[in-house]
Amino acid sequence: MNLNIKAKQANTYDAIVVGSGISGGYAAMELTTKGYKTLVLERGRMVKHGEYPTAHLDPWDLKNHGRVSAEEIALHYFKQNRLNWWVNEDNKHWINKDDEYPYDEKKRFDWIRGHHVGGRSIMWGRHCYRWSDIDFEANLKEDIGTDWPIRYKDIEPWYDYVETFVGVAGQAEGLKQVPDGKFLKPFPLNCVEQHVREKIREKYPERVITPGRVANLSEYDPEVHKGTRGQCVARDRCWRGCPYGAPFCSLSSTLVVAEETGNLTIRPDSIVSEIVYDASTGRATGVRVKDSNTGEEMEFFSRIVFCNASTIGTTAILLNSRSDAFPTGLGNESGELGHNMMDHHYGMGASGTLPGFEDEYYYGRKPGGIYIPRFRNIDEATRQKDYLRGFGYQGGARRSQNVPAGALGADLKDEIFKPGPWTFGISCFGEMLPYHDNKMELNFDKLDKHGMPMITFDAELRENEKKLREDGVRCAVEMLEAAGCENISSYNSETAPGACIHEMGTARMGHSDQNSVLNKWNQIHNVPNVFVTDGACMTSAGTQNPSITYMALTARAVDYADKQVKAGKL
Amino acid sequence: MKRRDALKYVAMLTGAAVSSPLSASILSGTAGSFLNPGPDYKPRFFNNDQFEFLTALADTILPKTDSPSASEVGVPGTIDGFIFEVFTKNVHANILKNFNSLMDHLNKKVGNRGFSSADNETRLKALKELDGGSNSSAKPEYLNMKQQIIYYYLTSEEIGENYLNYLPVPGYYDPCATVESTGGKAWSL
Repeated sequence: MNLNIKAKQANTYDAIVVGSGISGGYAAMELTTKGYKTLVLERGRMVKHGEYPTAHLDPWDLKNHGRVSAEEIALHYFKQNRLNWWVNEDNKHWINKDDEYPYDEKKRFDWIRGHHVGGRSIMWGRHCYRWSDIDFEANLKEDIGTDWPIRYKDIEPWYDYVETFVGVAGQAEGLKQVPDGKFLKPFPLNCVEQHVREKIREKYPERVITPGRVANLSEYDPEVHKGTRGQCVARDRCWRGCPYGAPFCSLSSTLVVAEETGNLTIRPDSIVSEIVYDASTGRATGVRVKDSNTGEEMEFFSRIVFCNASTIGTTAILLNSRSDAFPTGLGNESGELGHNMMDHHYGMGASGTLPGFEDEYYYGRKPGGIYIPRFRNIDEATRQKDYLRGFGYQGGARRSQNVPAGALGADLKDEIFKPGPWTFGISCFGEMLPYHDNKMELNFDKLDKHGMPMITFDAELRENEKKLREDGVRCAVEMLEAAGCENISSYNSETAPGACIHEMGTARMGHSDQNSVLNKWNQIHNVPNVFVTDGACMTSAGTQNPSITYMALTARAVDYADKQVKAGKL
Repeated sequence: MKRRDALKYVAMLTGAAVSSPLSASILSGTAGSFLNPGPDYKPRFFNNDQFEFLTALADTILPKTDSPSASEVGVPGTIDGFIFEVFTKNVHANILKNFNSLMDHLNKKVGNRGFSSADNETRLKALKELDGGSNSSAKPEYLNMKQQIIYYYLTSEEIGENYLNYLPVPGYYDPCATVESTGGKAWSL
């Protein structure tokens, strides 16, 4: 008996955070700095800041210039690399092997992820855009899905808070659809991008080309950007892991700060199988864990649990947390758990060449290109007849290789060492509506090697998305024409859900346990000590890259949880 | 900033910079294990005739001048190895079909013992016909091979580090540098 009590004490923390990616790291930092003894459980291997094996490799240092062999793709990355560009020699150690981590799909779903401390915060795209009330009010106004239980004013101070710590380089534009934030100086538009911005504004004043708002330290202030951060040195190799600590990543920021408090315990190789619910208290008591190396099963206990295992990871854990009170998964009174799967969809855009600007060039490789915020359906004047919501673009202008037609031999060699013509391209990212029928499920009849039920996806792009894509391509071509581009080519090649790696929505926030899983504080409606602050919580998808919103919601939820604890309510 | 100043600045900066610990060799030896194929490279995808043709094609397009030729920096071997390893078997047949038709076209064009044995002037003349306004069915494959040859040439270590503007750690970003400030050369990376 005594032994059991001691064992339980040793496994008891004030808070448990499941996952160490961008939102889990943030939860860990907020909890530990408020004095909570916090256990972070990460199902993947340990990685420390600086352990970035490919960070300094040039193209010629990488086998086959960075491309992974067909044999290896067929063995290990047959789903992760269906996009045909994602898995490379420089990043494959951050990507799960499909043969080790299988999943099923009724329709193609690209579930792209890596199991390691830091998660996808190592290789994320780093674009950070605030949501606005255009996004928060859309479901209500259009009677789609369920209404967001929060509005911009609820999250605004938390955007300020996280942006300051994260360090977002960007340019204020005064746009209502992507409100300005706490920006470091931008990585400015290059000469041609500036030219394009002005030409497009002449013809389409509502279409704004702005420097991508990226979480890279264009200015470094050690007092603010705590951890092991540093100034951006313009290498544009962020996704390999940056030894300079310039891009925001759990490994160089939140987890370092959390560790410095002395309140952090991080346990890698720990697969959370379920959250344990105690019907007598109406609370979760903690989590059940399996060590992925030894197979040992154990239980950890805590007063509060933060779920940050990624949209799909968190939802799978909740669906697997079945009890008499919650027979279909923790917090699933509404039947919405696992449903309303969203992502952004892309694979459409245009590119062309821009004559002139022969003497103009750039120095260094900026870590993000341009951004064109959504300009459709943001007010009555921009209302579209045949689809809801909108799309944004990323892209940029650069000089290509110089291969003048007809030059060969010694003549050609004189040319190829010079910078070539300017090319300009933009790629469109569209919103996806929350459809109840787009879902993930657990197959309890088929278990993976750790005994976890197989995740099965059943989601697709529908009519609204397809209509939106056509307009996205049309607008791209219009803008390139306005900019004076030549040789314009456009493309519209539909991506599967998941491919944008912005999956969200499967444990959404809402006003009631009858239509949603979480309340306005990201708490499970009827299990108040369980919080979900990763992408699963999203009630709609917006067009913006979502990570900064996850972080803002996380910081807000921890603040709320702390106040509830202090008030004796949690 | 003039290029010379820029380089000085970068040297200062890299000297002070944190570098990635080598302890992170958890990767199965990708780091530094790959070298450009040397002169004794044995083709794995092409047969010897085809590889000889590819080498002649590459060195006609990019001959030795005051900078190395394509084959001196291993371009034919890089292409051969890349196709062999990166492309799937079902793509291989199509690659070979297109390549063979280009080889046939050029062999017929120069006559005698074929393209690989012809002198440089003859080869160059044959390629110029294709490169110009030609409507030949071999033109798309020619342009494809030309593009690959140039790409792998410029991304070989020798050329990338010594003949282009190689700056692994720029130190900062300047959106509007001039071509003059970079010595008239393209960035390597």
